[in-house]
Amino acid sequence: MLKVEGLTKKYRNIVAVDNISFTLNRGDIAGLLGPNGAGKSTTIKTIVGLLRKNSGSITVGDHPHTSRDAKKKFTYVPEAPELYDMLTVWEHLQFIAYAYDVAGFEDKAERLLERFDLWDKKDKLAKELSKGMKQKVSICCGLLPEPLLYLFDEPMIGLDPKSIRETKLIFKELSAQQKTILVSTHLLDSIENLCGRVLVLKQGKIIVDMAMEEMKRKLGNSESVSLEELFLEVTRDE
Amino acid sequence: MNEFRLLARRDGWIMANYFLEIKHNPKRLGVYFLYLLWIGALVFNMVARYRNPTEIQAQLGSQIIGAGFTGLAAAFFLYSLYHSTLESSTFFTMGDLHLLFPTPVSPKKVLLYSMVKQSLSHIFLYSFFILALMPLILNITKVNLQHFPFLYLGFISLLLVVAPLNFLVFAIGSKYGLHRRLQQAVLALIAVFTLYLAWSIIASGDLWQGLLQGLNAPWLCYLPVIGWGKVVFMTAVTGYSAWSTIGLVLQFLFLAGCIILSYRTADDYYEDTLKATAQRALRRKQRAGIGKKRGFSPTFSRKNLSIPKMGSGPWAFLWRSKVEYSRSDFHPYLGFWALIFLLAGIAVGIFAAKGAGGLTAVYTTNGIIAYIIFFFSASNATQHELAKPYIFLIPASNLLKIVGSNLADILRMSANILALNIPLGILLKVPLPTIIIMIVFGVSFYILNLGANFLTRIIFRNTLDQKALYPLFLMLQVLLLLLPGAVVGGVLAFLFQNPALVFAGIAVVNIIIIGILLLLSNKLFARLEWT
Repeated sequence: MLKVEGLTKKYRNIVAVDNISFTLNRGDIAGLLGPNGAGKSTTIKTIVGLLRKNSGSITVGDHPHTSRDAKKKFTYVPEAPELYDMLTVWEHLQFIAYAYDVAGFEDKAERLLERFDLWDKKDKLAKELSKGMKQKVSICCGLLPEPLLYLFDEPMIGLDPKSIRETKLIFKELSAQQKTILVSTHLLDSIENLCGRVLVLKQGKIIVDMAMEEMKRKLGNSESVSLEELFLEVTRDE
Repeated sequence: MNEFRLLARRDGWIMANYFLEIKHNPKRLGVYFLYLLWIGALVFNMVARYRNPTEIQAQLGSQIIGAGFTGLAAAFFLYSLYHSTLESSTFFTMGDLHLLFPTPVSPKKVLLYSMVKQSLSHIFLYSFFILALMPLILNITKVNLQHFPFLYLGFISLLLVVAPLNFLVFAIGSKYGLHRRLQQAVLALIAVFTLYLAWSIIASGDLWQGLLQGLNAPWLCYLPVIGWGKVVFMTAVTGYSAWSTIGLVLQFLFLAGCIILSYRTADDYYEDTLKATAQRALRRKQRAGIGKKRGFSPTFSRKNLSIPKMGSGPWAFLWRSKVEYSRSDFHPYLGFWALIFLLAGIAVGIFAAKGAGGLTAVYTTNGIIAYIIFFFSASNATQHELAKPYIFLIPASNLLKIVGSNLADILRMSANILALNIPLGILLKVPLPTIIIMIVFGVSFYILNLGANFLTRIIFRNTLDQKALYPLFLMLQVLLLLLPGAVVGGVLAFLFQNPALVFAGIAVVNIIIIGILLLLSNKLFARLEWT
C-alpha cells in the first residue's frame, strides 16, 4: 500500500530523514516512534507531499505519492490541528467530502461526530473550538473519506480519554477492514496493543523495523514488558 | 465536484459565516461603522483641502509626485524581488496547509484560484491607501478627477504584480536550484538603480534636483511594472495619452503572465509556502494580541550568549529581554533602530539647517515619532508578556513585574529618542532645555502607550474583541490618555506663546498619568486574565 524507498529529506544542510525505506501492506498498523527531532513528522509530511523529498521514492498503491491517484488513497491528520477559522464543524466535513468525492457523506459524518461527541458542536465555527475539539474535527476529517491508507501524526495529543478510546477502537475497525495505518506518537501505551509493527526512527534513520512480537523476542523480554520499556531500550544512547 | 467550484463553495461558506457572525454579534457592525467614518473623514479631508495650485506649483508638484511614485515603486519592487529569492509569498492559510493540500485537489488549480482571489480582494482593499494618499496628492498638484481610475489602477497594478511575481521567482529558484543566481541578479539590479540615482545627483550638482530629474527620466517609463505603472498613475496628473491605455494593458498583461507562468511552473510548491503561511498566521495572531511580537531588526541571530543574572523575581523578565535583544540585535539597548533614529536625526538636521525652520523641524520630527509610536506600539512588550503565563506566576509585586517586563523596551526607546534628538540639537543649535523636553516627551509618550495597551487588555478581555475593536481602542487611547496632555500643553503654549510648552505640557501630564497607572497597578493587575 505504501512503499518508501531510500527517502532522504534535508533542511538546508541538516539531514532530517536519512535514506529510509519501508513498506506497509494492506491491513498493517505501524507505529512510527522515536525521540523528539528523530524525523517522524518530517517523514509523514514528506509522504503526504507537504515537504519535498531530496531523494528516494514514495508510492501509494503504485502511484507516485503526489499524484492525484495516490492522494485519493490516503488522508492525513496533522499534529497541530489547523482548521478554517470561519467554517463550522459540519462545513469542514462537507468540504472534505466534496474534495474526496465521498458519496452520501451525511450519514458517515453524523456517525463520526457522534462518536467523538461533536454532534452538538456541528454548527460551531472552528475558531470557537478548544484545541482538543479541533483535534477531534481533524480526526473526523481524516476518517470521513475512508481511504486505504491513513497517516496520523500524534493524533492522541489533546484528546479526552473517551476520544482516545474511540480512536483506538476505530484503528482496530480499520485494520479489520484491511486498511493501512501509519501512526506517529509519543503516547506509547495508547498504541501498545494496536500496532502489529513498529518503526523506530533515531536521528533520521530507521533503527528498528519489525513486528511487535518479534521485537519483544529479540530483546529477550517476556510478554509483560511494555512498549515503553522496549522503546527506551532501543533508543538508548550507547 | 469541479475543483474551482469546491474552492468557491468553501469561500462562499466563509463569507456567509461572517454575515452570520455579525447577525449574532451586532456590535461588530459598530466597528464597520467606525471604518466607514474613517473613510468618510478621508474623503471629506480630500474635498475640503482641495485647492487649485498655480501652474508653476502644479508643474513642480507633478514632478514631485512622479519622482515619489517611481522612487517608492522601485524601492518596494526591488525589495520584494530580493525577498522573493529568500522566501516565497503565500496565498494560503494554515487551514489550506492541513486540510486542502493533502486532498486530491490539483495543486495548480489551488494556486490559480488563490492567486486570482487574492488579486481581486486586494483591488478592493488597497483602495483605502489611495483614499488616504489623495489629500496629500491634491495638496501638491492638480488632479483631473475624471482620470482618477487611472491613478488608482496604476497604483494597484504595481501591488497586484508583486505577490505572483515573488511566488514565480521563488518557484523557479526552487525548481531549477537557481536561488543564488537569482539573488545575485536582483542585487545587480539594485546596484544599477542606486548607481543611476547617484549619477543623476552628481550630474545635476544638487540632491533634490538630481533625484527629481533621475526619477522622472523618460526612459524609466518603458520599464515593466515600475515605469508602466507610473505612466498609468500619472495620467490623472499629466493628462491622458495613448500611452496611458498601453501602460495599463501592459501592466495587466504582465500580471496575467506572472499568474499563468506560476500556474505552469508550480506543480510542487507546497513546501515553499509553508514558512510564509505560518508567518502570516503568526502575524494575524499578533494583531489579535495573542502572539509574540518583537520590533523589526534585520540583523543576526547569535546562538551562544552569556548574559549574567540581573536579579531575581521580576528582574528575570529584564534578563529575558536582554537575552532576546542581544541575540537579535547589535546590542541589547542600542539596536538597529537606534542607528536609524540617529541617521534620521542627522538627515533632518542637515536639511533643516539649510532652511530657516530649525525648531519647526525638531517639533515636527518628534511629533511624527510620537504619532508612529501611537500607531505601532499597540502590541508590544506588555502584550508579549501577557500572552505568556509567567507574568501571572512569578512571585513579585505587580508594580515590579510591570517595570521588569517593560524596562528593556523603555531603555531601548529612550536610546532611540536620544539618538534622534542629539544630532538635531547640535546641528540646529537648539537650546538644551528644548531638547530635554523633546526627549522626556518621547519617552513618556512611549511609556504611556505601554500603559494604554495594558488598559485595553483589561477593558476588552476577549482577544477577538481586541482585534475587531482596534479602531475603538485607538479612540479610547486618544480620549483617556492623550487628550488631557494635549489640552494642558495647548493651553500652556497659548498662554506663554512658546510651542515647546505643548510638548512640555504633554510630557508632564503623561508622567502624572503613568504615575497614577503604576499606583493602581495592583488593582488593574487583579483584573487581568491569561487568555
